[in-house]
Amino acid sequence: MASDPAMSCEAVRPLLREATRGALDAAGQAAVDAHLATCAACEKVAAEERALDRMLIEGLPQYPASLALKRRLQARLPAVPAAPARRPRRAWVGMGAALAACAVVLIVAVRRPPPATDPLVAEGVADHLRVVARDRPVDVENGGPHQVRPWFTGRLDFGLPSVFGGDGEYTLTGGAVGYYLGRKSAVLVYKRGLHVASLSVFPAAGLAFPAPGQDAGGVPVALRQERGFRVVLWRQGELGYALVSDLAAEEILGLASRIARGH
Amino acid sequence: MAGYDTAGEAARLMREALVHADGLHNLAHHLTRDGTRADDLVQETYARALGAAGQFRAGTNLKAWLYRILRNTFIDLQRHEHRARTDGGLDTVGEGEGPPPSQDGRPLDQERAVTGREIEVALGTLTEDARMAVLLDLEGWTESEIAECLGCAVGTVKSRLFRAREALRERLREHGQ
Repeated sequence: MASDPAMSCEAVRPLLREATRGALDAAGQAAVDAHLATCAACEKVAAEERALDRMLIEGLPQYPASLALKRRLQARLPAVPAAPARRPRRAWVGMGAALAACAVVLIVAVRRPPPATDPLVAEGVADHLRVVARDRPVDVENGGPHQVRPWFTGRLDFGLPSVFGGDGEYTLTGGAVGYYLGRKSAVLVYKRGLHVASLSVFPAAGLAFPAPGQDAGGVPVALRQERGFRVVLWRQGELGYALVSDLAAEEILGLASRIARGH
Repeated sequence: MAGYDTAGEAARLMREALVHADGLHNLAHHLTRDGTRADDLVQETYARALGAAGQFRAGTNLKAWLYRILRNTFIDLQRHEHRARTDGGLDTVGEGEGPPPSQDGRPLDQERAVTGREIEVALGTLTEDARMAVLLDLEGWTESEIAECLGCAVGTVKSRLFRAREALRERLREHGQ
């Protein structure tokens, strides 16, 4: 744009938004600046442009996506196909049970993915981090198991069995509704001293649980470790359970036993 | 350039797309002015984006592509709800457009503090595309990017922004008095 000190107000006005942000080229900026130096009316509009930017930036309410929405979006995404190592499993489908068992053992021993790739484990830890990061980790404060469990009625799309209500060692602090791999879940929060444990209960259908290697109250469970937390996963009936905490292995298994026996 | 034709590539693209959920929801809320409808709009946007992943070209602007899908989805949903404006215009300042900016009033920045709600109300008087232009401009989008998103010429974006901000200044001056 040619520098034109005689630029009219009508020509300058549409350029003021860019001019106040320094978005014009040098010649255009010089022309606008020259006009503003001699035109009080346009200088006033330029000041208002800056004021409008300030108002919008500082005062306009922002509406980021809620965590629940992000979870729903994530849950609806198709799974990223695993590494080619998974392909041979398809070929095993038609083979005999013994051969399949051998192959699974081999896969577990040689190619078992690291814990971070197990969505059940990763989801449990992510849920737990959300619980410990929230100022109010629970939607219902506990006045006893008879208070927490009824609160879930109508808020879940499955029936929540009786819950471990705490004892002299662990306190059930409350519960909340969450999402576990896109399914509605009941989240129960327990505390022991400064340790927090979160339990997610969710419909287990269609989920591949890791092979159990421990026993908790007579229920076979899988114990995993990820990102500094221990995760205990198990199935009971139609429901899946994920217990996550920074407790030691024997301690979290002890808590899992009490929860599993609570049914 | 490669597209995202396979299920795996589409899944990876959509995971990248999740990064923009906050911005998309903010825009959706300002368009719909309703939290539930904004959630629905964003979910539908992601569903459509997943369905159209094969059309996205690697190396192009994913954010602009998503925002364009959101804008088109919003228009479709509005039509579906029989709420589309009958004046056919998404590109002009909305109904109730005030008088031209007064030249003798107090400057905008000397009025009393305007609340966030008042700013929202003022923004809500603009048509949806004008609102989008203002919001995207505020986020630092270039006029070319806004034009790509709105499916119009750069010159249209310039004039739309000029008129929309002029109307906003006037509305907010009214609030500030």
